[in-house]
Amino acid sequence: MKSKFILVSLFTMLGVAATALAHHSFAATYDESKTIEIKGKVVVFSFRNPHSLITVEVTDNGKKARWAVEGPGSTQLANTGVQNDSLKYGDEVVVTGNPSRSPDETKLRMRTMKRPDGFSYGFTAEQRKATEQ
Amino acid sequence: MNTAKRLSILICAGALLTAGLAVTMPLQRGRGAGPQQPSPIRTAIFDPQQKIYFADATDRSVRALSVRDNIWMIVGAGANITVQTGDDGVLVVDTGSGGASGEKVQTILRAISTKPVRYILNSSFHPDHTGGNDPLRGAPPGGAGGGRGGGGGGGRGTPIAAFETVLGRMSAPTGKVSPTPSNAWPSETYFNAFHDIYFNNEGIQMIHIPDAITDGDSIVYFRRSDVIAAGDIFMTTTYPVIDVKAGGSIDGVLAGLNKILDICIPKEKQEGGTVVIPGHGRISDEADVLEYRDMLKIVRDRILDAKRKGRTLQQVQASGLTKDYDGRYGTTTGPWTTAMFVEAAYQSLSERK
Repeated sequence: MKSKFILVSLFTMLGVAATALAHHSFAATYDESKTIEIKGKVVVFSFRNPHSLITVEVTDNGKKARWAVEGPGSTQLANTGVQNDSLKYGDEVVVTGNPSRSPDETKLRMRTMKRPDGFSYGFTAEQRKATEQ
Repeated sequence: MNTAKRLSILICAGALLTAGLAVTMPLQRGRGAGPQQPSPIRTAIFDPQQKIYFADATDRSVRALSVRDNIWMIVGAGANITVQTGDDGVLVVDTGSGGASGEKVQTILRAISTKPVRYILNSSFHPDHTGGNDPLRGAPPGGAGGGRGGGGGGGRGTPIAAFETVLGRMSAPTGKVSPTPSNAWPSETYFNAFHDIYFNNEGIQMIHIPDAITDGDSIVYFRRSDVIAAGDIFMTTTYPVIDVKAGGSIDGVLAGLNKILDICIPKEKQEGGTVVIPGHGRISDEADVLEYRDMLKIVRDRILDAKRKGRTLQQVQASGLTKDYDGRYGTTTGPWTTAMFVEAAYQSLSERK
């Protein structure tokens, strides 16, 4: 009985450690007091847990830069209607979010996202209505 | 002849047949618990002397040749397919043209391994390399058509790795018509020089070769097995099929061949050692790649020289600059003629260099 308890504890500890590695704090990585907007082309959409990742290629004055846009996990996204095939390579998107605390990094915590065809994420019903008008 | 004699003759004949041809039945060891769909009876035939699996007893065009230990090369189903087997499952580099020959590929894969296809790598977006992506990836495990045995698709979660532009050329943005079904699209793309994978106890490197046959080519290096799947950058059958519209160039192909030569280590007298599996053609080694590289470099320099002297494409095509190699690599008919190769090389060469 005692050995079973030790085994269960050990596996729980290992599980927590593994989750902790992938599941980092947003507040520690991103400056939540700031919001910026980027516009570009989706080149990678990783629909996964605990955080999804969208790579957006932004062209600024002919120079291309890749932005790593981090968003909620696939379970949370699915609850809002976003599926693994919702974004395709080449889709033009406008993303707003919190920039990295490190000024040199081109990464963002996603707050909202919209595509010209009306697909969007993170907007309230009122905000969507206002955007459409 | 009495009954005992007849029986012994029958047994002997049976034993001889078994020794000559090992007939491998598909193993129905489904992973998932999903409903089993009735599948046609498929058998692969193994020739133990030549170490070749044939997909069909009558049509032996699709076959698998042993390359090294757990590495096989399937030919006759479009571009050559490199297969790595092991405890983790089956990994394939390219999937052929698909269709009827794709079914034969699956028959062979089931004979080579009882495990499902767990990893697909694409060296290019061209249909003869990616046509079998969809069927080999298979249906979701446990779902309709799932739960298949070895050699079948590992399910829609089976990753397909390729350089990023391969995805771009096989898919389309939302609202536009995609040239290929979404299940065939790469799910794991890379955009820098390398993509590393560890599978079946072996380090595998996908190495991007920029602007070669297309703008999305990869060569795949199996580090423990010392085997390179070269894709169409190296072929033993024809001049390189440079797709200029898709970003290809003769200089990119040359850079790719030089990269392969950098990796290759011959065993002795410049023979053997690292094995190179071409996109089309026979199993090769460093000497074969060296010969192909030298041919291409010589032809490239001749075409560039003519271009610098102001020769038009038509003049270059008519001047027979490839004549000494045409017997080996050239053709005037078929999907890739010598004239088409010269045109592609001419267009991709810059006069300033």
